[in-house]
Amino acid sequence: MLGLKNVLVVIALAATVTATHVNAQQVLLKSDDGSMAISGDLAEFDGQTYKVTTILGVIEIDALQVTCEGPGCPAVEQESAGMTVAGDKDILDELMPLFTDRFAETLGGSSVMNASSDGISEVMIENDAGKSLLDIKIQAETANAGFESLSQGNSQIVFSRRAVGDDQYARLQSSGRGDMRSDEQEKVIGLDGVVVVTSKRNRLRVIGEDALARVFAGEITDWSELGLPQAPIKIYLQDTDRATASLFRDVVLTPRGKRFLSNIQTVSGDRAVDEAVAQDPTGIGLSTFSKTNAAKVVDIRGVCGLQVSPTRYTIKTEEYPLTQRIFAYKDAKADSPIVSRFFEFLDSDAAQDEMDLSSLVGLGVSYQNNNEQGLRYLSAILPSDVEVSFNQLRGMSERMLAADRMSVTFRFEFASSQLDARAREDIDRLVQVLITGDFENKEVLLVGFTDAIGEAYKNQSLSERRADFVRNALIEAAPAGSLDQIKVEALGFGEISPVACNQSDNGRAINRRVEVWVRDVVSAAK
Amino acid sequence: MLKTLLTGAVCGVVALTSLAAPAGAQQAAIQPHVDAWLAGGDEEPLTALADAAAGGNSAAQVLLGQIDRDTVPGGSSDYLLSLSDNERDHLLRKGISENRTISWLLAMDDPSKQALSKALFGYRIALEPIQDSLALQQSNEILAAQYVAWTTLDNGRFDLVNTIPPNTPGLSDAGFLTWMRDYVSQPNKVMNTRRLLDDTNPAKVKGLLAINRMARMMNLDQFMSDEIKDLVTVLHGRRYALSEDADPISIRNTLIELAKYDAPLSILTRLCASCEQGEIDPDCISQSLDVIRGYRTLLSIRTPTEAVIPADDYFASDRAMITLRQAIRSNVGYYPRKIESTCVASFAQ
Repeated sequence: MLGLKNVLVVIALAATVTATHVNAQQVLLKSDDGSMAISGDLAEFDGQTYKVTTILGVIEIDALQVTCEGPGCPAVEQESAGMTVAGDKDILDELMPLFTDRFAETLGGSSVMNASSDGISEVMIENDAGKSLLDIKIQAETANAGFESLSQGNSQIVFSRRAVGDDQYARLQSSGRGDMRSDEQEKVIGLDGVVVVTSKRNRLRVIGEDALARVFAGEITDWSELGLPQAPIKIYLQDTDRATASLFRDVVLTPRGKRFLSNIQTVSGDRAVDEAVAQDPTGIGLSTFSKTNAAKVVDIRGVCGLQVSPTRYTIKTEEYPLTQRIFAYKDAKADSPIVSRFFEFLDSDAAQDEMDLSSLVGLGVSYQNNNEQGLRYLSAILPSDVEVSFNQLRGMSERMLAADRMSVTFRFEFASSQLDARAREDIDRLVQVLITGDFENKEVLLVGFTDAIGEAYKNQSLSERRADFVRNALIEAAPAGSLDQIKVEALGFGEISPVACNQSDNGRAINRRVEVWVRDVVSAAK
Repeated sequence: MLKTLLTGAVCGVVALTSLAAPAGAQQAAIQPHVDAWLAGGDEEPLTALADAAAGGNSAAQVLLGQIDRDTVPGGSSDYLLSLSDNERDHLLRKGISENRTISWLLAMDDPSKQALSKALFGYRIALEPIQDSLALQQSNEILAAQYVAWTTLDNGRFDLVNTIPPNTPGLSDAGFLTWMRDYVSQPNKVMNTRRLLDDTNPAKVKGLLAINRMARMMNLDQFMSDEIKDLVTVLHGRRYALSEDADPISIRNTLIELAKYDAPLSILTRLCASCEQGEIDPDCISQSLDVIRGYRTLLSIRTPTEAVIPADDYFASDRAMITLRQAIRSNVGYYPRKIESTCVASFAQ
């Protein structure tokens, strides 16, 4: 997402134009939809934006939305740009129609799609005048194939259900595709969740994490071992190298020193798991939240007793322990402005609105009121590794009473106040919400928490520092003075409210967070 | 308070001695009739003005010429609508023969008023709006000049507005242009209700609508708060397009606050207040804008000519409210949606 202090969206007319300061000459910029004509002396054109001196002073015009007439117009090659987007087929098939349609709309244009029974192969984006702006080829296969295509320069953007692996990262860097872990080339554009599914005719509703690991490692082979009627357990899974299984392996199996059992019969994809398991009362499988329709989702209970069901909200806050981030990566050499513009669009509010219309979970902000946060109080009491006093609980309750929690949640590296990749984007997202929403008569609480590693009093201090850090980051990211009228308070409650078990790396990462709460300010009657 | 609204319409105007107040014996002779017309009178003051015009009173001639144009700001009154075409023409126009009349604006007796009358007659043809605007400015019809400039921008022709010569008092420093200039120059582009209400530029509503017109090309939409977008939606006369959770009371209260600075809005808020009489009709202001298709129509309700009726006198008058009410009545027949405001329903009768 673009920083808000940069008031210009950097785009281009899909041409190779070098930045130039031109002698001031008259230009007439006509919007593609014919609704506005702006004239002035051209002060600067960098291929993406016209800076024009007018009766209002210097104004900046999005070059992608206008045509230029007049002696001062820079010479621009009017060619349509092209790019290839590769990666996970399920994601591309679902998101590309939504994204390209909305992207075209932001440019005042429209999109035309070529699709077949195999999926979408191409999308053309045109402006209002029918001029082609961008031709997008789609290679919908797997993320691995997408990364390979990227490294060979055959695609410019890749969608993946997992972060780029170390080997892939190194290969892409050595092939000159840039730093795939930089903010400029890596984005989190959405979320999903890996879920455990059974048939609706299977009585299992919740399973402990240890038992779950043993099932998929082949150590528990009969339902009777889980307290259910005797029957052999049949496991359904897609390829264990795919993202769904990989996440499960990283979070559930590997920390326990376990591996997938060797003779799993794999099926073709997450949806296939859902359909197969739904038909088989003895089956259990791993699918995704977005693809689960026919089967039943089974809750996972952590070793500390905490149990977070997969919902759009718990996935959005990433408190569901098997939340899966959806990534987009861009080739550093793909520096065509319209390609960059599309990449920037992917985590914009407009794109996230579309994401929330899909079966995936978007990054847009939603709210949950305090009544729905009952787990918070249970979680303060249940785990044995958390130091908490009644006064602390009461203090937290008093501050959060009658407040609604935003889904935006900032997470941190261990023992650090450094925000993770998604959090850095969420700073901009939260700023946008605050400056454009109605927060008069409201107070915004930034509430910091930690994992349970270390002494409680140190964690208290760390949680306060994290909340302060987020507050400062918001002020830094917001246009000058735009947050002056909004009361934003930073506070911390240390380790007292875990939302995941501290026994695992994943759980501790979930617990290291700053939550955002909003409360109405009640004025005393005069 | 309404006197302060003067600057709402003519912000940035350099005081011009010939503009400052109606002057001269001719003006004085017809002032009682002008006052009566402003107070809502029709037959008696218009007849008196017609007599004065026929007797060579140029102020009366200019005023009747504008009223004859039969569009806002002259406005159509029930009395004028009740006349036959012939009766109306002989009341408001110069008689050439028994059956022929001509607009007083094209037949001024006083040569010194011809530039003024030509400017007033010509701008409605709108062949060269900025030239028309300059002609009005040169004739000290500053409000009309700014109206033409603003509507030219609203029509999508910022390129024409950009040709206004610098240092043109009342035009290059028109309030809405000053507002836009200030907004564009500031790094903080965020626009929310609080910022707008705290803004002391009386032309801020015109400025906001003008910048909104250009917002898409300038990528400014991202900086507009949801409440500002709701406000603009209502000001554009698209109340029906508001989201379900839009707060009508908040919008109403914001418009009332803005009307303290904005003369055209003040006509509407006064009209609604005259109907509400202490009880709130939350939809009066917004649905009135809906019916008349937005602020642009409201902007056209102004003095027929500043040479005879100063802007602030007109805005404060009952005539302004009568004209607005007439605009509502004449548009409601084409309004496809349900009238939810009891006041608007009463205006429509």
